[in-house]
Amino acid sequence: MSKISIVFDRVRAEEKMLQKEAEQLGHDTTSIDAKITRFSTESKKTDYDFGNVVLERCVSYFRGIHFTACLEFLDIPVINTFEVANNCGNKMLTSLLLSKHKVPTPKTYFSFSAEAARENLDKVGYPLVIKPIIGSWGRSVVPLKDKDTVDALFEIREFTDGPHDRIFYLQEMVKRPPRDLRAIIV
Amino acid sequence: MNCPDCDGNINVPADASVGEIVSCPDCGADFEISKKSGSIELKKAETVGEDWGE
Ligand SMILES: Nc1ncnc2c1ncn2[C@@H]1O[C@H](COP(=O)(O)OP(=O)(O)OP(=O)(O)O)[C@@H](O)[C@H]1O
Ligand SMILES: [Mg+2]
Ligand SMILES: [Zn+2]
Repeated sequence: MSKISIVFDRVRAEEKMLQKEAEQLGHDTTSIDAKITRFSTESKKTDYDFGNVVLERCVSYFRGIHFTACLEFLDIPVINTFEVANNCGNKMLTSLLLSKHKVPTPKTYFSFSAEAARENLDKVGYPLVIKPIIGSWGRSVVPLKDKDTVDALFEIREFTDGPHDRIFYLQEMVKRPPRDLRAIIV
Repeated sequence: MNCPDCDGNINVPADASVGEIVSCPDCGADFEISKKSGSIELKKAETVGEDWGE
């Protein structure tokens, strides 16, 4: 029997189910609110009661990954590890890793300015799918089918000008039936 | 409990846990159940961030 901590920023049905399941398996399980937890360079494992393993379940990706870094600093095992969360939370890093390890993946083009992204589009041709490198639930995943769409979207990116708006991730459009297809790679 | 925004009546289920979100049936605002010095209170829920996902 081990002690498990579930770190959350918002409790959803999944977190409750995980807690219930872990308890039924006989593990001592506690939920910890990431929003009210503090760390420092002086923190020690013994200052906290995270148990043997932590499930990091934050809805906010940035909050979760930074929280994970603190836990790993304290040598507390976290699922997922910082490395896994970093690689899987960033679509560009994921695509690069899949390709590097010869896992078939749609052709994807990376550029670091709107100008270079337009050159990519001119070279490869329409349609391409643009995605924010960090994000979920399909938000801002948009098919670029013509120049008008590109102009509109790139203009919006210029206005928002977030740190990720300078990274252009363009992917070949995969022919698919009108339903969601998901491949899970373990 | 009463809605901090509109004073409407928000039903907090008995089995609800800290960190869960409840909505006000009157004004629609979302609140997070939190615990401060032992007593339950309603805290304005965070709005969906660019980095939210699962
Ligand atoms: N290259 C592509 N060609 C065609 N359709 C695509 C392509 N990429 C994504 N899609 C469609 O958009 C959906 C969302 O894409 P993706 O999974 O990359 O985004 P996400 O924001 O990470 O979403 P999730 O939170 O579901 O993981 C996919 O499930 C698929 O239906
Ligand atoms: Mg995703
Ligand atoms: Zn209200």
